[in-house]
Amino acid sequence: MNLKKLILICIALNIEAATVTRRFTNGGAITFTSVLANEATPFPSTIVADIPSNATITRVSVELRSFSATQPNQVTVLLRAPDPAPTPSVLPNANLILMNNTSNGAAIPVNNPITLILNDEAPALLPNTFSEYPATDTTRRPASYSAILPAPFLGANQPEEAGTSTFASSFNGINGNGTWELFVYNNFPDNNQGMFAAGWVLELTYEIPDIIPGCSISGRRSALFDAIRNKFGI
Amino acid sequence: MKSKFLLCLAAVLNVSLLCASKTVFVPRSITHDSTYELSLSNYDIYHHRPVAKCCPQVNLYGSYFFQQSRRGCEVGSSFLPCESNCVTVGENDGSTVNSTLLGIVSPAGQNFRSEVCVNPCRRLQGAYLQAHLDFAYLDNWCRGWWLDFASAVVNARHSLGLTECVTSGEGSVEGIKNALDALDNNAWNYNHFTNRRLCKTGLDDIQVKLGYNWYYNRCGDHVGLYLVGTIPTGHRRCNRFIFEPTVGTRNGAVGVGLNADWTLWNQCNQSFVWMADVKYRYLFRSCEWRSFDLCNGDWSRFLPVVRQEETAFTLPGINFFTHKVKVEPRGQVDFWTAGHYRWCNYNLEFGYNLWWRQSECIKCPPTLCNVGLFDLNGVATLAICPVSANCLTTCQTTTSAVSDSSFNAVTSDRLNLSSGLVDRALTHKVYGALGYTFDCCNVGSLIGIGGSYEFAQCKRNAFDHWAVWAKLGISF
Repeated sequence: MNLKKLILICIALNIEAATVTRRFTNGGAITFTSVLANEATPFPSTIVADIPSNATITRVSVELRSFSATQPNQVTVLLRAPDPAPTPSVLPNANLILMNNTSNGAAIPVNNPITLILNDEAPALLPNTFSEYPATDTTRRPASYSAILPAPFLGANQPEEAGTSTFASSFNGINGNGTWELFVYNNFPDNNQGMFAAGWVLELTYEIPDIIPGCSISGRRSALFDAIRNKFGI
Repeated sequence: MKSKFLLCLAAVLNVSLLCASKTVFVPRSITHDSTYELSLSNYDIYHHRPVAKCCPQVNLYGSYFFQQSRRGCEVGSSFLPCESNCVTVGENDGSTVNSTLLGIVSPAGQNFRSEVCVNPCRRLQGAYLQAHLDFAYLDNWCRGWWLDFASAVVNARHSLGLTECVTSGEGSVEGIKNALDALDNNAWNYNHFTNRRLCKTGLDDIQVKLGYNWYYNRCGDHVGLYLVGTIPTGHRRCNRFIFEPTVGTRNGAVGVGLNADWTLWNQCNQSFVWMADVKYRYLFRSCEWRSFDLCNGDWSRFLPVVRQEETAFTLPGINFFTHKVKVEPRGQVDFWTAGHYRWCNYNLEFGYNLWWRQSECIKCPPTLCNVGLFDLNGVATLAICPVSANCLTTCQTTTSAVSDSSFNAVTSDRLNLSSGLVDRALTHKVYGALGYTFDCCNVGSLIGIGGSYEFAQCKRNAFDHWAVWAKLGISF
């Protein structure tokens, strides 16, 4: 059954939904230090999100850890979900460009990296071509300041200002159970080197239908039952 | 539907064919042990007697004995899955037992894993008491008859030798941090795996023999037949612990036996006598509490169960798969033979004892309450409305358990009755004993010591034992 249909049926049946937020981490460094290759290593970096198969994503947030780059504006990052997009898309799965052609300012040194937290609620976009990244960790909205995307990302959903896509428009409504991929592309390897030294974190908020009228779950629950549901993030 | 059935069948067969754990252990009764009963005393009764007299001869014997089991791992393997005395308990990692089903669920991000081993040990000590009345010398209608009573006061100490090595994780359910907590938790009414040493002291069953020696000579050689009966003295086995000590049974028994000896060589102050005794007894049924696994494999009695109206409220399966049933131990054969050498008042005896026990059978299989196995997969992945999981096994991972399409209560025909019954056993015992006899004031006396070793042929059903004893006896 289509998940959207399931959700609609649940709403129609007055099914209460439980909201769960879970963080998934891949602490492996993503490096773009080669002067020959545009693709970072690894390409892509992946996270397996084991969430219930009847869950529905309601919010996505990404943390890019220990970011450093000699020319930050040359770094393009794409997040791709395991499921097809909720609306037809050129790329096979739901996706969003997280950063493209951002600050053309000073380098972010390796010995003083910053962590970027990207979500839809942040007050500001990532810095544009004419501004600089702050020296400390920051929470921003994804941003793309060029309509032109590298070849592997052609057709991807563009956030402001080149597009209008957000985490919500790109991922809300999908299930999200499976492998999430983060593609990091270095547009100018000759002059730009850097890394996300501490990898990345994917924070997913999802809803699952929980208490169904007439279902025995609404009766007594044992400690074992609750422990299993907590374990599986239900 | 078909594939689901096949999947279920494969899972069940895979487990039930490869593994067969037991929920009960019944040791050999002390009273029925021919070695304690007949060593030195059988010779003493027939070959060390005063001159003919007009009243019955009375022989009284008392022995202090101590015996201890060896090679407990073999018996231990009958309590755990997959015929091993160690079992891995892990959380969704393909371990022998899925810890989730025992109630061990670690927090998100952790995975519990440990290894549990058992090495049972059984120690017994007590007094074996025997009285023998012989009417051989009387010149009336009861000439040749004899009567024999035997019993023992026994102190039995059992320890399961339970150890656990936790390699990762810790359970989040209150009171169940690890496998030792899970296997001895208060919610279980039966079959606890406990580390405590369990003791039981009491009077063992009473054996009564009524015999007639149709051949008898002045050297003491004889051939006699006898009827043997057992008066039960024990309490009902409550099965609260997996390896609980018992003294006495609730099984009466009747049987027949043959006792004979023959002097092979006799000189003025030396003799060598060969002796033999064989008896068959049939033990009658009695009511006992026994736990049963399901056809779903070893330890399936510990699977959580749910009622149809509350499929999220788990209950310990062991409380529902333990029933009061009529168990019939059936036949036992005891064969004893020994060679006895006497030099003046000194006695040396070497003997062999074979004990064979038939496998138990059960009358009237129990009727189960209306409970189904916990829908583990339904709870963990679907998260909508758990139903039941008729094919759940203890070794399945959470996601590989198959949910039922509608609630399926466990039926009596799914009980694996053999898991709660004792299999046949065969042991061989060799012993040696040294005695000294003397007469004082027309009372014959015996002082003796002995030692034995018992080899179990099927080591899952009976222990190897070593034993020592000291025997005192008088005859008048």
